[in-house]
Amino acid sequence: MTDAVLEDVLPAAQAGQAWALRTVYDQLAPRVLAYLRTRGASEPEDLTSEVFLTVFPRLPTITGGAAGLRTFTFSVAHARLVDDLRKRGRREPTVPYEPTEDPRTTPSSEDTALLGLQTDRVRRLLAVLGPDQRDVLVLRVLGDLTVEQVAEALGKSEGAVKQLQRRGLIALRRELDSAGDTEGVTL
Amino acid sequence: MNPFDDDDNVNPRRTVEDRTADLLLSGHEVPSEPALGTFLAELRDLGSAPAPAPNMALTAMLEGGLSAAALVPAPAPARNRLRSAVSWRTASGAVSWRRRSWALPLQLSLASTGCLALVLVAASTNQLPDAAQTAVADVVEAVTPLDLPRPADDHPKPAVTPTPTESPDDEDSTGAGAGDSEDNSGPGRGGRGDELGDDNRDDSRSDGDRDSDAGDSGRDGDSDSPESDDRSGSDSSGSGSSDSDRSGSGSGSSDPDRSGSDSPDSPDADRSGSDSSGSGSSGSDSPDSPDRD
Repeated sequence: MTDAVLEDVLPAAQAGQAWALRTVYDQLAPRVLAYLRTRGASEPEDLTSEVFLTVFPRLPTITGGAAGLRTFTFSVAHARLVDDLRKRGRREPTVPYEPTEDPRTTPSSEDTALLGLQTDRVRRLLAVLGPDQRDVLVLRVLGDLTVEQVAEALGKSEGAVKQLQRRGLIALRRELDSAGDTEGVTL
Repeated sequence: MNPFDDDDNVNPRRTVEDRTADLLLSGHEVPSEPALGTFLAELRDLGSAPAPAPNMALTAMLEGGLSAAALVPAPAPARNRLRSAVSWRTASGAVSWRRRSWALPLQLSLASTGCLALVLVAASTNQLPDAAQTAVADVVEAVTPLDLPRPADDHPKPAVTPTPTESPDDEDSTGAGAGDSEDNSGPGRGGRGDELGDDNRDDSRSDGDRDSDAGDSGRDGDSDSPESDDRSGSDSSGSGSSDSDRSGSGSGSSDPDRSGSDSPDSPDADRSGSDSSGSGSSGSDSPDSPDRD
């Protein structure tokens, strides 16, 4: 993803020109799809289309150039993801009586969706993170967002985002260490 | 051996500095963290796949573009300035649009509250123009139990009652005063005279003086004058004779000799006229005045 391309086409996209919209979609859609997949969306492709159907009519309201466009796009993607997870969470069977004494367990929707990741290694490692840590790390890597932009997209403070990314990286490193993936590295 | 040596948060080898985290997450290689760098590179590769096929609605949008009607218009420049002013107060622009959405109504409400407070303060010190002062005073008195000052000319001049401490000599009215006394009718005045007659009995008072006191309704703020008018109306039956008497004797003259005939106002007159008119005009007054007996 190159911000230069987005900067060039953004005025035309804000005017509603088709070729510019296509360019924006080609630049941002793969990362939005990866974010939704990583976070366990049920239908990531459809959800990606829904995200851009929301983003494109609001392009004239976006300020801040390419960075503002990325921040706004991933904010919409996060909101759609939360809606999707809630919708799926309501459909999950529940165990209302004494769950601590019930040996049965029901995997969460996110855990179920993580099974469909293309890379088993990435899936296994992301599963050890909490949802917020996962959001922060994936948005920073896939969305190429700064701490401030992630904070705006998630509605959190910058300090909270920094703390989440720090703890997420520590948890990842601990998992890599325990899995033996850190051969030759002293921790 | 320090018991905290194995604590992740204390051991500097186990923590991740912010700078290191920024380098790792932005795709730079960090020699001290090769495993994390490898994992994050794999994660980043997930986003390098080709764009997914859009659904039908998005396909139509990508092929046909967006008309001006379908685009959400950009906010007005003035509103942008307000929003930027709000975000300027917060940390480095990390303000969500939800936070900004209530900033304008908040500013408007604060401004209106300030203006209202200024108006009320000015009204409480009678600094507003007369029309505005009257309007604000009306509203405040209607809504709250508070009383705001009113413009000087807006005050209704209260009726005057002859107070005993006033010097009737200052108002030397002759014919006019007598005429007023006739209008105000005798019985009410007689009652007033009964009330005041105990303490202030001045035989030297002329009829004209008394009558002018009664007629000058704007001299002081006593509100008894309407009462006297009411009494005059209600006691009309019993005062008819006294009115006629006074009209014949006390009008247009301040002759002290005739004070006896101007019974209603003069305590002496009350006493002297009690047989004829004064006592009959206001029966309720007579018990109050021991002099009548």
